[in-house]
Amino acid sequence: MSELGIYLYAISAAPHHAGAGPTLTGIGGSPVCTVTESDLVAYVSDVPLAEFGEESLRERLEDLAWLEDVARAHNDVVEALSRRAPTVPVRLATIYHSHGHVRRFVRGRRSDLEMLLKRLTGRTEWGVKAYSDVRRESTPPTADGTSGERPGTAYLRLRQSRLHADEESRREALRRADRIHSVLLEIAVHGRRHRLQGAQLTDRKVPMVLNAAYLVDEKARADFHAAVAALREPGVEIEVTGPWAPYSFVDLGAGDPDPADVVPA
Amino acid sequence: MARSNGATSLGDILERVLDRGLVIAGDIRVNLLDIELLTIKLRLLVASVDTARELGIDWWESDPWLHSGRRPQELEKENRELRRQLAEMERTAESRVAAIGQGHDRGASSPSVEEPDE
Repeated sequence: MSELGIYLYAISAAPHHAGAGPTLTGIGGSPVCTVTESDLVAYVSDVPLAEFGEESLRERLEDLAWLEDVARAHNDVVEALSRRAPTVPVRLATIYHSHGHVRRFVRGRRSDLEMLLKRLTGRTEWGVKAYSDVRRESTPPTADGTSGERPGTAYLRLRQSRLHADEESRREALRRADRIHSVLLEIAVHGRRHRLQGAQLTDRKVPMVLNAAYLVDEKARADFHAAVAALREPGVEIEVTGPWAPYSFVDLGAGDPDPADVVPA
Repeated sequence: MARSNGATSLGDILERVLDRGLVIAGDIRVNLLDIELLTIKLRLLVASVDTARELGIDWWESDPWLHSGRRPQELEKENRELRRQLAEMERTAESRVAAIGQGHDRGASSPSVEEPDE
């Protein structure tokens, strides 16, 4: 039995495929090679099953140092391929037992893959995260101590207005996020809103209000960045990352494959 | 290139390669954890190791039979206690992550803006 698994990075279209260029290095330093199935090309490299077999994979995924190495190696390959030609990135840790199995997968999903490649051609993914703490800008209500109220009543009234202010701040922050998203959707071909990341994960003091990705036509790239710049205002920080390979736009949900905006599950 | 800093952050990479990209079965079955949960678990693991170290419990750093001179039953007991604490911290973190996940839907009814001092 072979001790090697076939690690899959991405798929693109032959003959204009992304393999033309220097050989890429994949996970563990193994060279990336191609598996061709009619007019589609899958990019793979050999990985030891001692690390990537079912049992050890589960353990390794909990090892952040190992995960970081694999994630960076995976992304480096995917990004290099994506720069050369339209490429469907595959999620981490998709492993087959043979090239034949890879071909079988490509054959079976051919029409989905072709649809995705068409969607991605001439377009790039950009990540947009927005952070907003509206609360900091408004002066919280304070007791004025001059009304004839009893202290207890004054305290409760003050507390209630602070709670209302907090609630209003949250709504305002989300309104800003919605606005950023709808403005950018006008320019992008597609957008995806992803789950927000809590403060403990972002190492920021200010709450994240938007975690989105946009698929932008190359011709619209400058307009997109100009729009982001125009959306910046005091109290709202917008962080753009990219260009990325189109990880966020290779989802295959049931129904219309080309929605203008999809909120993921 | 409009990256927010010089190098691409690991968090940005992980949320893409773990949580997005084409999802297909492959031959090797893998159950990738939600990225937030995975990252929290990893941080908890680091936190509990540091805390334990501060308390003088460091049996994993060198040969336990030689280093602290403790008997195996004591080590096992510490091991069980550490795992219990970690499980508790994980449960707390999981319920927080679930709350974050549920609270993020669009619409003003359940906003998910995090408190900055949490």
